[in-house]
Amino acid sequence: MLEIEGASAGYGDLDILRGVSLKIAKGEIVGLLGANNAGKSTLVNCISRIVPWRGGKCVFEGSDISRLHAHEVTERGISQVPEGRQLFPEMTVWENLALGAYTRKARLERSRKLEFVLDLFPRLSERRVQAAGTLSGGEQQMLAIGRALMSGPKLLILDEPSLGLSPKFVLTIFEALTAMHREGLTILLVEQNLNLTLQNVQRCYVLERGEIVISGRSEDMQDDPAVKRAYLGT
Amino acid sequence: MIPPSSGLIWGLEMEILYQGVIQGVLIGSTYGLIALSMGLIYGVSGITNFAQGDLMVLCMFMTLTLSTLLNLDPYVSILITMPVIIAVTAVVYRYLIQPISSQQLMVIQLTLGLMFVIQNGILMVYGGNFQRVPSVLDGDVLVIGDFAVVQTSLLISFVATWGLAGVLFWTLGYTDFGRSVRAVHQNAKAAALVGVDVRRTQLIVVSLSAAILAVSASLLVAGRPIHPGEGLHYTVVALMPFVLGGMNNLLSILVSGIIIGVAETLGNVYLNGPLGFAVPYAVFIAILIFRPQGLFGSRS
Ligand SMILES: Nc1ncnc2c1ncn2[C@@H]1O[C@H](COP(=O)(O)OP(=O)(O)OP(=O)(O)O)[C@@H](O)[C@H]1O
Ligand SMILES: [Mg+2]
Repeated sequence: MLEIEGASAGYGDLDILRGVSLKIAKGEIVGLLGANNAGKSTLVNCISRIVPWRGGKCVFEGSDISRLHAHEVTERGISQVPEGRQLFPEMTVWENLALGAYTRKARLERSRKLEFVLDLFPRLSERRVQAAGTLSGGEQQMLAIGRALMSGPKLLILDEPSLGLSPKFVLTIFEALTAMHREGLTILLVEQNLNLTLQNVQRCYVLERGEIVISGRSEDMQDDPAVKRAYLGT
Repeated sequence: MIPPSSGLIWGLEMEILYQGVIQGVLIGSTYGLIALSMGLIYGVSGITNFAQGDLMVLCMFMTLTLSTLLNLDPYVSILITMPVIIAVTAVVYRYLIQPISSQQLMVIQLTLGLMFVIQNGILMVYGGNFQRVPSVLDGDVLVIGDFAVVQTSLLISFVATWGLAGVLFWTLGYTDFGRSVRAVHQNAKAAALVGVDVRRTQLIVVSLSAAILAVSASLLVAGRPIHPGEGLHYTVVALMPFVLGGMNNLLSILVSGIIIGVAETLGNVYLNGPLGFAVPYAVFIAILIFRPQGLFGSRS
């Protein structure tokens, strides 16, 4: 479904990604692990075209998406839950969700999608008219995920959704992810939390200083000492 | 005992005050409208357009030309000035400003440069005299209650301003387009991620702002003389409510416009010449000293 080959990217004089290759098949749930500053967010932001590619290929459902604008990537069916949630803080929960279904196609199914999201996260339902900025961290993360789901994506990318959340909320969110995956959604999960990720994904890539150093099935990686070593950056 | 005549003078005094306040409220609404057009651009792109007043004066002189050539009333010429000024602004924004939008200082430089280009362009074409654009409503007045006499043109600008503002608030508050504008304002990156074409939204808002300028120009031109050098004055009287209103709260910008308008008219009524002109600035500075966060902003 998504195929990245030899991709590079960076900011100014800095080269961050150096020849990253990665593949996600339809219906998979794939993890992308890596320490701080490994370049994980840079990679997913390149996919979403918030950050420009400097080289390589990024093919989604058979067509090159590396030169599209960010909104066009969303229209194609890739939705990102960005790091730090990035909600519209002064807008209500409902307005944030409505904006999630902004693309022309998504608008037609807005009320159906809204029902789906509120079913998934009933807590949001109670907070419908509350400003997003006043929600708790966990609720904000639910809203960020809900907003991304409103566009009815084919591929959902989540950038460190567990960051700064209490274990209870982390559990809620991973349960929701598992449920959506079971319903057929393809997911790319960026995380720092090694064990949690390996327990929840089928395959995993480990990014280290802009390069994929290890990849494989999660079962195989679970007891691989090289993973821990690479991951801890030692 | 009060001599009988002092009651009469007191009455006259009050009438002058009422007149001044009403006049100020009416004219200030239109200042607020110009400020609103500035606030819109600022909200989606972070740009303060210092040429805003001159763009409006350009519209005013267009109505002058349309009046001399085609005998069009300023209210009717909106139909022509609006598309023209939208086109001019959109082209300037798209091809001059957007390419350098990440460099704040250069953008400021550019809008200042634009201000001088427009101002001198108008001077070259029309000369430096005050001119009047005739309107069907010239000299028309309305009597409100038993004390206030107001120019019909001012009343029309007041009603048009609030009507337009109402439509704008509704659009921003309750439509998909409006939500996308607010999204770009609050978090441009997230807006792009949900599928908003950020650059296109900015361009549309800039065009909308130009459309508001065309309307403001016609509203102001009916009943007051125009001069090529007035652009900066309008920019400043718009900048003040824009700052007082808290930069991006549209309703408070409009209300702040009224405060500046009232300060200006009362300054002109009670103080002579330059001192009178300084009153709105004094009020502006006084408000900022006591409420540096703007009139309606909260401390944070
Ligand atoms: N907008 C930017 N401009 C310049 N440098 C940036 C920018 N964003 C990220 N970087 C740099 O790129 C490198 C990789 O950052 P990135 O955010 O991709 O890492 P990450 O793996 O997501 O880290 P984290 O786990 O902390 O989120 C870092 O050194 C960071 O300082
Ligand atoms: Mg990151």
